Amino acid sequence: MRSLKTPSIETPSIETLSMGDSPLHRVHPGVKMVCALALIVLTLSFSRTSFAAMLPFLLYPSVAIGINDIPASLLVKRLLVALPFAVFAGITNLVSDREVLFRLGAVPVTGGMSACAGIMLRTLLCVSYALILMAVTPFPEITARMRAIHIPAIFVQVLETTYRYTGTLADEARALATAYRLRAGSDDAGVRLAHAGSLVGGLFLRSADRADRVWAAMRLRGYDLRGVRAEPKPISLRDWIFLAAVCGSGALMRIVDIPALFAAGIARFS
Amino acid sequence: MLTVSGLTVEYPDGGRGVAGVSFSITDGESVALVGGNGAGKTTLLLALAGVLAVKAGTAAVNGLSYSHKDRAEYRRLIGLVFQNPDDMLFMPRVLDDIMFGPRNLGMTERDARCRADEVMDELGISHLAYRSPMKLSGGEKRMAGLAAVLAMRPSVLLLDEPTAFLDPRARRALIRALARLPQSKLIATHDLAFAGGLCGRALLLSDGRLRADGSCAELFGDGSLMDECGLEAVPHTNGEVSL
Repeated sequence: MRSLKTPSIETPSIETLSMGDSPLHRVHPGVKMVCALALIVLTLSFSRTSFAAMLPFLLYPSVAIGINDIPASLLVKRLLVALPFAVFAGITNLVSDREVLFRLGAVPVTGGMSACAGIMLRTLLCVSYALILMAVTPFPEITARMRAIHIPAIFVQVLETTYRYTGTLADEARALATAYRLRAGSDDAGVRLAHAGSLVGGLFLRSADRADRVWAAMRLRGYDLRGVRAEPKPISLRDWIFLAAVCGSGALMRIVDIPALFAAGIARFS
Repeated sequence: MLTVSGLTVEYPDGGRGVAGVSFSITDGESVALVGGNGAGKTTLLLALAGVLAVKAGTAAVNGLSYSHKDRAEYRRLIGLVFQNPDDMLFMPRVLDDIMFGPRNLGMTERDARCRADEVMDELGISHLAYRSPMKLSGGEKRMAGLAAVLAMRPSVLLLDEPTAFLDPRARRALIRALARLPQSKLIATHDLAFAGGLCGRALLLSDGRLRADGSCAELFGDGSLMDECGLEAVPHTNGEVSL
């Protein structure tokens, strides 16, 4: 059984990781944010049917996981949260576009299937860039940097409070679930439908109360709309090289369809 | 110095929180705020800190009253330590939590870090700096929460049930730490032995009203008064805390 003392399901794990000291942690936070944003824009610029062309972008999450000791399972768990939304967005294509594009052995691949896979891959890539950014940059540093580049204060504050509320909600949900399981008779017993309404209602009331107290504690320690603005931090040559490498390779992979070139190469030699 | 005059707080549903409470605390004085459950102790502390709206009366720290214009300065002068430290610790590391206030005061990273180091040294918790608040024990969380407030260098400390959830060892460590602090302190507590040992004076709150203001020895030994306020009389501690 998950203990009451177990850290929140996801957020603290990412937070703990963000305090690490890997090569990516040492890159200037502003540079990391620009890189993540650039990769998101490049990924989103693919058409919905460009599934294969997007595949090289998997290189970024793979390398980041490999060199920064980010547990892949943690990212996968988080990505699973986004997956249903991606599936929901992509599934209508299966019905609307049934034109067969090519065959994989005996299986016909339709335009809808390609679009559905493309939407899912695009979503998973974008979420993984954001997760990796959070896993290698402390969240307060991200928001301080956002303020420093004059992103509207209200937007940053909403982001900060939502982030904290998510943690609070997860803590309360865990405590409530443990209390429920302890009296449910079995560790494996799920929440009975008859109890679900009051549990969810109770969860939101409890978390709102706690969020009020957290908000009061923040205000009492001087937090306001202005928040903390990051102090200027020089961008080193290493940071510039990192920025150029990530954005340059991303742009190259966007312009050149590497899987298509690869396939053409194989076709020529075979 | 904290001066409170005729402070009245009502809840949005019309229920009375505290009514017409008046008292003052001199520089460096430690005062216990005692009363049964629902007496209004937490409400009074939240109102003094400017978290709850006041219906009538005033509260002033070093002559500065709470007002919309001066609220930032007022909140810097008064520090509230919540009953549940989890409500105060919301940053990834203890160090970030302690630096949260100084950063919001506009201090540079270097100064905020120095301030945090000083406070952690004072409380003997430097070893917790890089720990996640979620992984601390109850006593460690309490000290980290106290450090987060002390980093604002307040003139007056408000503590809500500081010994709640603490084992005897953590309780002793907290008492030692609080006894060393130079700030004026208003300590809401049910722990009368703790209150009697740390504070010379007590305010007795009952049903939102201030029933008595006197020495701990005098009030805590008055069986009928304590009984009326839903508390139990305790023998005089002679100003000694059992450590």
